Amino acid sequence: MKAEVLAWQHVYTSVEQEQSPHDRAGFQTLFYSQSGLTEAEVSEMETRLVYFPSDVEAVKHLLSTTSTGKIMVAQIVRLAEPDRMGREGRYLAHNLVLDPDAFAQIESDPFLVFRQFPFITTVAEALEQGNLQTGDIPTVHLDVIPEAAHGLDAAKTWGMEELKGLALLALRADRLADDRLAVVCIGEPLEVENTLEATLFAVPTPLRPHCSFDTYFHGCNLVDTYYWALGLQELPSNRRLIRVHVKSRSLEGTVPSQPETAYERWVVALIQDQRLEDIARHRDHAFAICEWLEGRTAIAPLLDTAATEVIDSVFQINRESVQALLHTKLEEALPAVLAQRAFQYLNSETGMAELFDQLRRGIQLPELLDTLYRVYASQEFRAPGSEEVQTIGWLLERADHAFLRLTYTCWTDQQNELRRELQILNEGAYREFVQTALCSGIVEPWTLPIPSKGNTFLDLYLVHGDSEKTDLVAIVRALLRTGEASCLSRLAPYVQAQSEQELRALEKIIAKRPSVPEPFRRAVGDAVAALPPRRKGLLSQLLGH
Amino acid sequence: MLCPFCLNHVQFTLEEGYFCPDCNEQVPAMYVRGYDKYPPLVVSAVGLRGHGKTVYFASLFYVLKESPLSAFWQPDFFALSLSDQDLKTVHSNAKMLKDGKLPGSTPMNFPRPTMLRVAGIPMWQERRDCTLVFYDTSGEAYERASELVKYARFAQQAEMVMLLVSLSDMQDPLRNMRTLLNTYIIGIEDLGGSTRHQDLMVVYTKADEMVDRLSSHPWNNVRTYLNNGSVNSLAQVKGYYRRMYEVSNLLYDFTRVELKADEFVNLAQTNFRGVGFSIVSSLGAAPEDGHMSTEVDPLRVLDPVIWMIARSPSLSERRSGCTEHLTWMTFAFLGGVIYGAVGGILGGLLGGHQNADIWAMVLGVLLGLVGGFLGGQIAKNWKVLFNPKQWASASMGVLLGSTGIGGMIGGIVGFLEVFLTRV
Repeated sequence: MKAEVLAWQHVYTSVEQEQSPHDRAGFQTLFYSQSGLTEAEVSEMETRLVYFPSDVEAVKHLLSTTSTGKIMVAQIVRLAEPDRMGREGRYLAHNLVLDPDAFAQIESDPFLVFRQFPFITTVAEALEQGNLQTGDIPTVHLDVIPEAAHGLDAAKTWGMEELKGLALLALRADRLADDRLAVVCIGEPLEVENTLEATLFAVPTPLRPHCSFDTYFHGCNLVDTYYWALGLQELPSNRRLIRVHVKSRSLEGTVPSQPETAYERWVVALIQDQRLEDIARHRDHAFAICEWLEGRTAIAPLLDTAATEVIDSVFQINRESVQALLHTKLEEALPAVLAQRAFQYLNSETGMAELFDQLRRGIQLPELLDTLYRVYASQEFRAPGSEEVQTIGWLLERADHAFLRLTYTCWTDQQNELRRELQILNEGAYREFVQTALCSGIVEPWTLPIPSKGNTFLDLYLVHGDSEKTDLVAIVRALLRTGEASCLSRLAPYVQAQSEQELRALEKIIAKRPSVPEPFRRAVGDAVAALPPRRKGLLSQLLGH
Repeated sequence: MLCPFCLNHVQFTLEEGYFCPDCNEQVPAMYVRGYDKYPPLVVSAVGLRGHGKTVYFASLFYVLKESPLSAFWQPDFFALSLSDQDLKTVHSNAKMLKDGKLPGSTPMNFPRPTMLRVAGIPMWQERRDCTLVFYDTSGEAYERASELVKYARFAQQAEMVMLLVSLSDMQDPLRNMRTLLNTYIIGIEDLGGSTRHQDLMVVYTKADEMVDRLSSHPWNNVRTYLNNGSVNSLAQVKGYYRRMYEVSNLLYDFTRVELKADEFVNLAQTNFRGVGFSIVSSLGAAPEDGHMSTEVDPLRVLDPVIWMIARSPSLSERRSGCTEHLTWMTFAFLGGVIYGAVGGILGGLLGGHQNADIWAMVLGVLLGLVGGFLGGQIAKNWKVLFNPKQWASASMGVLLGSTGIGGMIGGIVGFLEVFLTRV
């Protein structure tokens, strides 16, 4: 998609007195856009627009940032005509100055500008555009069409190890600047530019302005004007500078080999997997995620719009960072024993995108309780150690989770409390918990019936467990106790299978209960009648029964 | 040590080469190792655009490397580049002139230095070997003080500044010269320095174009001096420095009388430690369309450099460690003796007849120490005194040692004075 951004112009060259708005001959700022640039900025930029001619008729390209944060994208060309004194060495610098946000709109890619913008290359052109009376020159609109393929193609010409080195050097541009170290690309200016494009290929938009460069640094002084990368045609005298041999595609000097940040790890891993297209496509999103992951400021819209595959790849490559962040967040919210429990679950069971979302939003206590419940569910509600159970009780005083509370009451054998909690549940929740409890065996089935939900209970109970229903007596007692006698008739088919002892117990239980439905009563009666006659004991015989 | 790249005074770190801890530049090993024996002298050429600074430097390199100086100045003279880069710069400039070509215009920039070790110039009785550190920036840098601060801060480090003036390129020499000098003074002050610590050498360049101005008496003597000033004239070193000095006086008069630049001269004399005048023709003839039609024949281009080396205080201070230190020790010793004697007498008076010897000893030693210290410091240059960065550690050791010796001797003298005359 085409991007259109506004740039201020600055033209610096050597002119004769009559061509100068300042009425003096020699090197000077001929014009600058006075609407956006200050004199101080212009003065600062002048120091970077230096060009020493050599046998190579080089076109110099440079990228730099002013102390006020504006971005300079400049081209310098040699002027063939000598000055009035017959001296050669004249040059013309056309400097486009962009606001950082505008530069970001074109993905902070200076090479697009170098390729697509028609820079001024002669004094006559400059005089045509500028105002000789005021020294002003209008702003210019840059219409830039993104060309991701260029950087990618340039990167593909480098070996994996070298490309890794180049990428890490670019990503550590700030650190190199602090140490006043620079990357020197040795070769012809055009090749140098290709190398720089390959080097910047893995650098995300926000970091690109840090990678200042000058493609033809011949004769210039790094002490006075620092650039992260320089183009030279011969070896620099300073052995500390990192040397990139453009022709042989090799690096020399203290080149970093190990990634240190999340983004560096991501880039290096993708380079190793030869997934350069993915770097080109996702670098900004990946960078935002990595910055966020390591606690630095990240661009929120990029985090919001990150594709699942980017999140997955970043999280997989930076597993340790993700785990560390997750651990930190959990320990902020939970006691250690529970944090560890939740961490294991979230770390292994949660999808990357979901985890990213949770971590971004911040993990809330209700969510954590739910997670804990799911942890215990995944372990079939096996009761944890007493310390953990106590901690859960402590936690439930601070936030509620119905099922976890029910689980807790089961583990602590608080039957009355369990029944009271079950009564609070709606039909669906009751059904879900009973189902869970029956499956896991966390609690005896007879503790589960509650008033008005006898049928619901039986729906689940009757399809679950052993078909003979060996705990029928306890169930009947529980149903009667909760006033659910009416649903006993559903248990009639199971009466026949009960033992003599249980049948007699049932007979005794229902004897004084007129509310017991007739089918169940009859089933019990028939079953008891079918029992073999009871052998009389000695006492009965004596009493004449 | 002075880092020639960032101009800070630093201790270079050794790690597969010498590096400046401030700017991280690799400094030529020869520069560091020979720092005491060949101290750096910053060669700072100040001048307006097109007045011949770059050509003058190229001509200097040509004379130092391509001329038969080493044949004239047997057996010790040599000029040695300190790094590959320096070697390349010197040779390419010399070759350019040899081929009749001229260097192009210099862009405004804070330049990298070119370092050339010069040894064995037989103008003086003692050796004045040094490392000349050349910085060349564009004339535009001297048009405004703010530009000078940006591009020519090396000038602050120069003990002598060469003010290159091409009269033929000035529409209004009076005003242009005064403005240039004024701008320079402001720039140096803005940099936190002072021109009062510098010598000023006004160098009239493109002398071949001044023929008309030098035709009448007594300026024709200058013209004669110039015309006889090819490199071969340096074969005869006897009286060279004196002749140079005489020509300087003549040019001083020329500036006042012929150019009527009294204000310029006054300004220079008031604001600089010393002022000299020189005249050079870097090429020997005027070029045509940027090329020389005849062979380059530099005239008197070495004069400003000889003058600079001759008048350099730092070379004077360092010219001979032994001699220098002996001078200090002598001053310290004498100071100690005098103060010690006074201390002894005072001690005696204070102590009366009781414990007079002890008083004399104590006060003698104390005042002897003071005297020794003062004596030693007087022997030093005041500039060096107030700039501890220029104190060499050896110098401090000698100073303290001689102060102690002076103090002890002063004390003994005082003691003896009391002991012999009063007891």
